[in-house]
Amino acid sequence: MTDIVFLLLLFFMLTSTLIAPNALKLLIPQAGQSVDIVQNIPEVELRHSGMILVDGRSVQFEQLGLILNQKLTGQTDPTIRLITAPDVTVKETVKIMNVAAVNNYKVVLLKK
Amino acid sequence: MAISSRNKTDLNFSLSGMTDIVFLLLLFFMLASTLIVPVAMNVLLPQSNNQTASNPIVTVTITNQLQYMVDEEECTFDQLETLLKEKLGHLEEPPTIRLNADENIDMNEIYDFLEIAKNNRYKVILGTRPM
Repeated sequence: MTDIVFLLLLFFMLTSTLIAPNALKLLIPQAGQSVDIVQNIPEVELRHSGMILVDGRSVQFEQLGLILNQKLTGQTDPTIRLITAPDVTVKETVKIMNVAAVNNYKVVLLKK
Repeated sequence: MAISSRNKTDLNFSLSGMTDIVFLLLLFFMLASTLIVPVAMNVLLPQSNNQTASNPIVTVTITNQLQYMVDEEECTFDQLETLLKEKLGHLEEPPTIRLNADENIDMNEIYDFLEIAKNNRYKVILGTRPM
């Protein structure tokens, strides 16, 4: 009995410290950061109508991961710029940020 | 001899006391781990499956009705910056803020908040719920 209870105790103690909350990092462009210009950073634009543009070309949401993958393969610090219209909801933006997060891309948020 | 010590200590090890304490601790941790993120206001977070390890010091909540909250304290947008400065002003390194924004609000509100964060060099993470 003590064995089992002790084991459970240890398990819960460990798991409760290991919980990482679900969240996304928000990066905003800082003044004086112009090093990134050397790399070409794809620009993802999100319009109010739900249209997604990658470097000016309209894409479907499902293809977004694939297209970004093509553009960013081989880069050491893959980053995308996400430009949203002011009246786009958080939900839509997070959907795109999640695609980037799954592929370990950094997202820099820009207001249009 | 006729004289002998009356209180002899029982040398046998008894498990029951130990089990009690361990059981209590077990219950405590089980309950505490479920109570870890209490949401005070009705905010529907956007969904993502990304986890970040950075631990935020302050939580800012924006509801559907554009009510603002710093931790448990309700405030207006104009008070937000002063409140945050009060809470985080004494810290040396840039603190992290968790932003719990409702998924149906416009990015405009987020950008307004990020403006404050940028001016004060706060790091911001956007709270999400698992998919």
